[in-house]
Amino acid sequence: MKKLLIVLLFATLSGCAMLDAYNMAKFDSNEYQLVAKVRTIAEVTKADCSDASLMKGNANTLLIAATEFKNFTANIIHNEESLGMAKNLLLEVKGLQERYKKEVVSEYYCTTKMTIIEQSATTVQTALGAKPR
Amino acid sequence: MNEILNKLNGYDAKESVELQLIANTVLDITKLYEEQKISQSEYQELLGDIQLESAITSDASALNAKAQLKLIIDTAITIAATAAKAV
Repeated sequence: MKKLLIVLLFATLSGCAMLDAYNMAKFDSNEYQLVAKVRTIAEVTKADCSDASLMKGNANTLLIAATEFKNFTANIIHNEESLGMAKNLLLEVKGLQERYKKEVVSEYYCTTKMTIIEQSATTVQTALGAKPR
Repeated sequence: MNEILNKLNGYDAKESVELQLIANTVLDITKLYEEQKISQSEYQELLGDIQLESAITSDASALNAKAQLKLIIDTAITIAATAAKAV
């Protein structure tokens, strides 16, 4: 009886966190692939920052990839952290695309922005790769 | 900068590297703005991006913690199942 009470107490205290972890969405190779795509586009197209007309197209491609990642992640249950990361990554990418649509963009801004997007995508990719199989 | 680096002690090695990168980017952006290589609106936007990147790092950290807890639970379940079979 005493042991049962201890088990119940333990389950009550940390039940939510345990249940949350137990139910967490497993590793999804498609999700992983989509964020790897965002990272790759940012990594490769960073070199085009001196050519604004080329970057305008690259910014659109990046926006499509980041939106696809967010949309894919959105309807997977128990996947809140991944969705949060996907939304924030998309916000970073949106800023770039909107600026290229509206005005002249400096090369330094472009290079820094792409570096930030690349770093963020790498962080997301690392976290998704560590999900349980 | 020192304050940021001191806070890194509470994170694991991988997260520390990620946060170190963020801290370096903030310094780079500020330098670019001071040298007038980027406009004020570009500077503001990039600072906003740093906040988004920090939020991503925080979510990644939470996800890692959950994955580790899940691993512990799965191991405990396996041990319990093995023990039950043995009885």
